[in-house]
Formats: sequence, C-alpha cells, structure tokens
Amino acid sequence: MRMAPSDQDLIDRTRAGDADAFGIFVRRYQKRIFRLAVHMLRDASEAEDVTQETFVRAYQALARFEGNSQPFTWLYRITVNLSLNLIRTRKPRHQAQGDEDPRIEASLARRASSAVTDPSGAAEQREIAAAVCEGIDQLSDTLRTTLLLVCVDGLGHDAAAQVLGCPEGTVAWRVHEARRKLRKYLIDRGFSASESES
Amino acid sequence: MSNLGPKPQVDVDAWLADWPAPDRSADAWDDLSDRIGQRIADLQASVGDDAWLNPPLPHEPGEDDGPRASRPSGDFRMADSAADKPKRASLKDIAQRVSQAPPNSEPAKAASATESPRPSSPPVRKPLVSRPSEARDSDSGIVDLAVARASIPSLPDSGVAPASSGLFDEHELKPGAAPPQAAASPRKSSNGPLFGGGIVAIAAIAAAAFFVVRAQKAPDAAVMSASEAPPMIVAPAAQPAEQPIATATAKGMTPEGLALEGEIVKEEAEETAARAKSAADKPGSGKLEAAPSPAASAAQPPPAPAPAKKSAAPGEPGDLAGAMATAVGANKDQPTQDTTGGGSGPSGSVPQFPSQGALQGAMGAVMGSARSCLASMDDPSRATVTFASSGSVSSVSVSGPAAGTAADGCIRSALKRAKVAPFRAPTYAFSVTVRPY
Repeated sequence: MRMAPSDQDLIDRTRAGDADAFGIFVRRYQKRIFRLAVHMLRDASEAEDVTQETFVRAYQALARFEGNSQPFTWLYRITVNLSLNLIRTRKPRHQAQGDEDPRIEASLARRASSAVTDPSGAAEQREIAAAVCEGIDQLSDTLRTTLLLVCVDGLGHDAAAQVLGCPEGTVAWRVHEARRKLRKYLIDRGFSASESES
Repeated sequence: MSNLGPKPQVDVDAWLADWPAPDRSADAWDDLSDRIGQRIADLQASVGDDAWLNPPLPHEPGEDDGPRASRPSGDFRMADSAADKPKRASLKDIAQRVSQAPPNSEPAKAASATESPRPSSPPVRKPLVSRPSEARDSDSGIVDLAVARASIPSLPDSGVAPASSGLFDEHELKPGAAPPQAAASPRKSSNGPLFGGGIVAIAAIAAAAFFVVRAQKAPDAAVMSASEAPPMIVAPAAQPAEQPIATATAKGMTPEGLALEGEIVKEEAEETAARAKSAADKPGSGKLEAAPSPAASAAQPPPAPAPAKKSAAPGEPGDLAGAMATAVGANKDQPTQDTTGGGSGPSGSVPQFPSQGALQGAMGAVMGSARSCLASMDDPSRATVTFASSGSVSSVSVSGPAAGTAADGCIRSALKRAKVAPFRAPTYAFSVTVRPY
C-alpha cells in the first residue's frame, strides 16, 4: 500500500518545482484551516478568503521555511495572524448573530446526524451551541485562539506552542483558564457545565 | 431562548472537541482548492520576489535605447538591469591604452570605458576648466617617460634599464611598441606606497585595538597619553603577560574588577609615562620593527603599561615582569565581595558569582511557567532562588500570597529549572517577584 507523502515531502517537492505536491498539501489542510478561520472570524466568507490567503502566503514563503517545525504549524500561524489582523481592521461590533453564525450551523449539523431528532432537542442543542459560541467570543484573543487550537482543532500543547510561539506551560495555562472562564460563563447563563478528563 | 425548566448540562470539552467545519460539498472544497491553485499559478507566472527592483516603466515603442529594445515585454529578470551596466575596462586595459595610444586620444577612451557609454560615439567632454593658451594638444596630463627621457638628453644614465611592464607581463605587447614606461612607473611607485600603506594600516589597526582595550579598562588621561607615544610596540610585551591579561579581562566584567584593574593600570601608566616620553623622542626607533607584531597582537588585549615599557626599556624586561607580577599579586590580595554578582578571581575562567545577565536570562526562561502558577491570584509573590556553585538551583523559598498554597509548590518547581553557569562561591541567592498574568 502506497504511503501518503508526509508534509515535509510535499514541501520539498514543491520547492523542487512540483506544483501538484502543493495541491495535495492544500487539500490536506484546507478544511482544518477553514474551520480555524471560521472560529476565529465567525464569518464563512472571510474565513474562505483567509484560507486562500494562508496557502498563497505559505507558498510564497516556502523558501523561508526551514523545517524546524511541522509544516502545518506554520500554516496555522499564518492563519492565526491573518485572522487576528482582519479582526483588528474590522469595524467594531462585527459579530455573527444567531442563525448567521456558521459555527452554530456546523455544530448543529454534526449533532443532527446523531440521535437527536425531536424539535425540542434541536432547539436545546441550538441554545447550547449559541451559548458556547458566545462564551468563546467573550474570551480574549489570546485565550480564544489557544482554546480553538487545542480543544477545537485538537493540536497538542507542543504544536500549539509552536504555532503561538510560547512555551508549552503557557499553552496549558491558557487552555485551563479559557475552559474555566467558558464554564463559568455557561453556569452564569444557567447551564450546568461539566468537564471531562482531558 | 427557552427559560422553562432547568438548563441542560453542557459538556464543554465534548462540544469543543467535536466541532466540525461548516458543511460544504465536495465540489465546494474542490473549488476552493482550485482557486488557491490558480492564485499560486498566477504567482508563478508573474513577477518574482525581485520584481520590485526592476525598472518600472515598460519599453516605449520606437524608443532607441540599445539593448533594451530587444527585450521582450514582461521580462522582469534581475539580469536585465545588469545588462544595462557598461562593461568596465580593467586597469590593465586602461594602462595599456595609455602606454600605446597617442596621448590626446587616451582621455576620451579612458572616459568612455569607465562611464556609461552610448555605444555609438564617445562623449564629447567639455573641459571644466579652460585650458591655457600655451597648452599643447598633447598636454593630456599623462606623462610618457620615454618621451620625457628623450627630451632631456642630459640626464645621466643610471645604468638601470627602464622598468619593464612587470605588472602587465601577461599582456602581449604589440611588436615595436614602446616600453610601457607609463605602466612601469605606476608599478614602481605602486609597490612602495603599497608596502608603506600596508605597514600604516597594520599599525593603525593595532593602535585602534590598543586604544579600545585601554578605553575599556582604564579611561585615564595619563594612560592614554602614555600609550600614544609608542602605540604599536605592544606584542613583544604582550606575550609574557598573557595569563594576567586574561585574568584582567575576565575580571573586567564587574565594576569592582574594572576599578581594581584601573587602579593598577593607572599606577603602571604613571610609572611608564616618563619612559614613554623618552621613547617618543625616538620616533623611528621602534615603529618599523613593531609593525608586523601589532597585527598579531590586535587580536589580544594588550596590557596598558607594556608598550611603553618595552619601547622605553628593551634592556629591562625585568621591570615589565615585575609590574605584571605586582598586578597579579594585587588581584589575588583583593578578593571581590560583590554581592550583585559577576566578580572573577585570579583563576580567571570561573566567576566568583553568576553575572546579572546570566541570572536575568535564567530567570526569564522559567518565569513564564512560574507566573502561570498564580492564575487564581491577583497579587504578586516573592521567591528567593538559591543557586549552588554548579549553577543549578538548590532551593527555592516562596513568600507572599502564594506561600503555603498550591501555587507555592508550582512556583518552586518552575523556578528550580533555572540554571546558570558554574561559579566559585558555594551558593548564591537571588530574589525575584512573580507576578500573575
């Protein structure tokens, strides 16, 4: 069985002139980059633009990638930087409201495929999703970004530390603090927030 | 939002961990990746990273600018800008032309070789200064020695053959061409200035290095004046004093070390100032012989008193050794008591205490983790970190709001990871403030 090429192989082949290799790299990570951008920006169209820009800039900067970190952490850092830059240049109080929030729709779409079929259950799920999204939005950029990378995208603390350029201990503290604040927000909203072993 | 009944339980981690990307069809993902690929393809087809350095304006139809007219539009290679540069004639070519061509044509040729040319015709240069009426056509300013010699037959024949064009030996002179006196004379005259210039350059480098070292150790006017007279005579005296110099250099990292060494140097300088005066009376005595050695000594910090001593008293090496021995002995007799760290003793390589820079760096590396221990606190705490002589932390004590809490152990474990270079004192305690984020 043919092994899929590693990210570093794809990068090396791209540098050698193989344009298809970078296409494979794009298809491998575009969903994750898009998801991260959606959570960062709370807007699907802006997230798509950031996704495109991420890969274009990554391609332009291939010569400067020294291979000291995983290629995907490099992609994530570009995405985070582009997203934060876009957030800061936005007009204030730009925030997806209710049904327009692509995050809520994505979460409900996943849960609709499970056993919940009755309308009251769907409404409850929507309420929870909206509350969780609002709780995440209440966090600072630092805590929110770290939470998204580790808890939503599933990066390890070491990979997140590479993306964010901070020690692993700092990543651990930020995740802990973000979850604590998110839980507190949900409790204040009347939910009973439980925590699972992480 | 529903307000009826209790709110449901939310497993935050499960919600976060199972959050997919917004639903899109496979075609939409393909479309996104295709658009990315198209943008990258456009990048490849368009200008490269160096394009901003290229001339910004396109070629105008009918514009006659030589080689550029044949360049295809859109060719933004960096090499194009290099093609516009004129090919510079080498000095050898110029000298050959000078020696061979008639004098009145040489300036035009030389000028056209070095300036950006119009290939069609050499530029007609209007002289900046009007030539006097008595100037001849051949008065180009270039001296043809063969002509000069021929015009002055009374010059005695020194018996030395005119210098051949050794500098341009590889050039094949045209048969019957006059000996390239003009080429030879620059060679004759170039060797001397070159050699002298080299000596001067070496001497200047040594002097500069000597002044820099002196300025670091003892910015004392008496020292500077003592060193100025024979600045180059450093190396011979530097060698026997290498070990103390190393000591002094390492020691110089601390204020106390600087002050101590400055005092020693000052005493030595006062002693040698008088000798330096006598050495200055013989300007040519030691400079030439010391010229090679300063180049070697430029890499080593020369001792302040050494040069004057050496030049002034070549027959009294004992005085220099005695002076350096005094300096070493003085260093040993005065142990540094610097509690702020960084003093180095006679052993030279291992400091007495860790330097402030090393402590700051070591604390900075672990402070982030320590601060994260105070997540639930608002007020800072203090920690006293005790380093053992090996450079590792032997103990940490925490005071303030974090003392006795869970954060106490967290801070201690974080700060224990700090490490500095080994030092000679048995222990060294350093206090830091740990502030919460």
